[in-house]
Amino acid sequence: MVRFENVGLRYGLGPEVLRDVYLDLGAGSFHFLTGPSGAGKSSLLRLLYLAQRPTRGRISMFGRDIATIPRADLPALRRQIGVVFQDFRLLPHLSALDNVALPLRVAGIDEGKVQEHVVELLTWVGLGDHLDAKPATLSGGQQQRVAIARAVITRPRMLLADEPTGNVDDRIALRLMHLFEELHRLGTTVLIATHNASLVERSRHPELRLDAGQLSRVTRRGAA
Amino acid sequence: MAALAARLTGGAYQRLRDTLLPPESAMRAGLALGGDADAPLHLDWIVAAMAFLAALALVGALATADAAARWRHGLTGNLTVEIPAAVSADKGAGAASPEERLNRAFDVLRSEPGITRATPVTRQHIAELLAPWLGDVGLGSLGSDAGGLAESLPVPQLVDVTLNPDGHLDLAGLKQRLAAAVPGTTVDDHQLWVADVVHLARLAVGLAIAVVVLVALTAIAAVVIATRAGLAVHHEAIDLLHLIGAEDRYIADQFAAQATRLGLRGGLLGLLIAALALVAVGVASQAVDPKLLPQLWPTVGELLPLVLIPPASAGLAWLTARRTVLSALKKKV
Repeated sequence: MVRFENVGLRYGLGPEVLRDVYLDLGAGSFHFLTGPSGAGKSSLLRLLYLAQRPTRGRISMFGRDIATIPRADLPALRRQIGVVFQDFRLLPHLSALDNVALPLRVAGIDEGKVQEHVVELLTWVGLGDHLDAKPATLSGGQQQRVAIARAVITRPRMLLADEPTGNVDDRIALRLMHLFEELHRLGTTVLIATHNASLVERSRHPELRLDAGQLSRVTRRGAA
Repeated sequence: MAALAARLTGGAYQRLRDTLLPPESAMRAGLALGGDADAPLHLDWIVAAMAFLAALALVGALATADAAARWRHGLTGNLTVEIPAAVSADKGAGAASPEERLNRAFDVLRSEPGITRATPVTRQHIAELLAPWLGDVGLGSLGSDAGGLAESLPVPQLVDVTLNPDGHLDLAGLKQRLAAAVPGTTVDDHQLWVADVVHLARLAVGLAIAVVVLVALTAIAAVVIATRAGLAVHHEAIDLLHLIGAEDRYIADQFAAQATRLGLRGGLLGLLIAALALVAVGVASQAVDPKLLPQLWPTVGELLPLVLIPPASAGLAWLTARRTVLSALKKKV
């Protein structure tokens, strides 16, 4: 589904932040991405959610070579990818409902269905009473749940999450992980970047580790 | 005091906005760029100023064209025959009297099929025409038709001639025959005056159109600057929209919709202010002696093109904003 071959990335004339990355995410797989701050996790995610093109190497996604995809085809590809950003990136002037509805509206989904699905999902993540709340009036954890709801509302083929449990308590973190597991069971490819070692250790899913821009697979006892 | 004034102004503006346009909430489903209040540079007020100037320029052009057409129409269907007064040397026993000279000229004019009517300009009217230069003394003397300046000044006799609009007039032949009947008689067909008026009117209309074009270009520049500022202000939202799969067209439509609303609002405000200004000028002009002021007030029908200003502002804003955004987004990944 996603394949990186000898991928490198640098910003401008700076040093390479990703070097010789080989990555293979099969359809319906579930991976954790770990590594210290500055190791290149966010850069790798940027390549995965098509915010950036690699400086070198080859990336294929959903069977298509990123280098040869016309710019006009990128939106359709991006709609198959759900992203939970570390800084949430909620639009401050929109309500929780409108923020979550945005990907559906962008895709031109019927407004009646938009309302129905968004209310259902926000209720599921525990924000049924905050549908009209603006992000500024929500706590960090609540904002994060809105961001996660926005990422999964379109049932994406691939879900990328950058520290999705960083601002929530253990109960909510568990609930969110159940949501990711559920999506995974439905066939979504999931990649979660996290610092939460216990979250990774509790899981049976494989771990990818980035160190100084280089990616390696961590072998854990009992991992899938 | 200043705060109170600001509050009142803000309230009045809000009420005006609500009157002119439906509430934003009714129009902004899916809008990802914030409300119109977030729009940079107060584009609506800039467009209002441009629309105001365009309306005034258009009114100027329409009024000038209308007045020129009326003047031209009034002058091209008429001739003025000028029969010179007999100078002292001619006033011998055998010299023709003024009445006789006038009759001779009339004989020639009546024989012309292209002439509908010939009316001598009364001495009273001539006296009125000369009054600004000669004053009441001249008026009284001439008007009395006896003695005074009427006798001492070689004031010519004038004949207003109305031409048959369907007939043909041999102007050169007429001039010759009149000169033969009454030596020194001249015919003024106003062509020089008409040509000057037409030239002036065309110049004024051209100037007004140039002003409208310049105003439109300035408005386009304002929309481009405001849109670019909007792109900078909303770059995070735009990046997000891109990442969740929005096409450039969707983002451009968001900006274009906002610019259209602001353009329409600005156009309406500008037209409203221009209408108030024109009404004020119209009221003020009522107090001025009509003889001192030419008729420069276009009719309601002629003012109808002005209603095109708000939709034109909106259309221009839509097109400009859309093209600006699409052009800018092409450079992104």
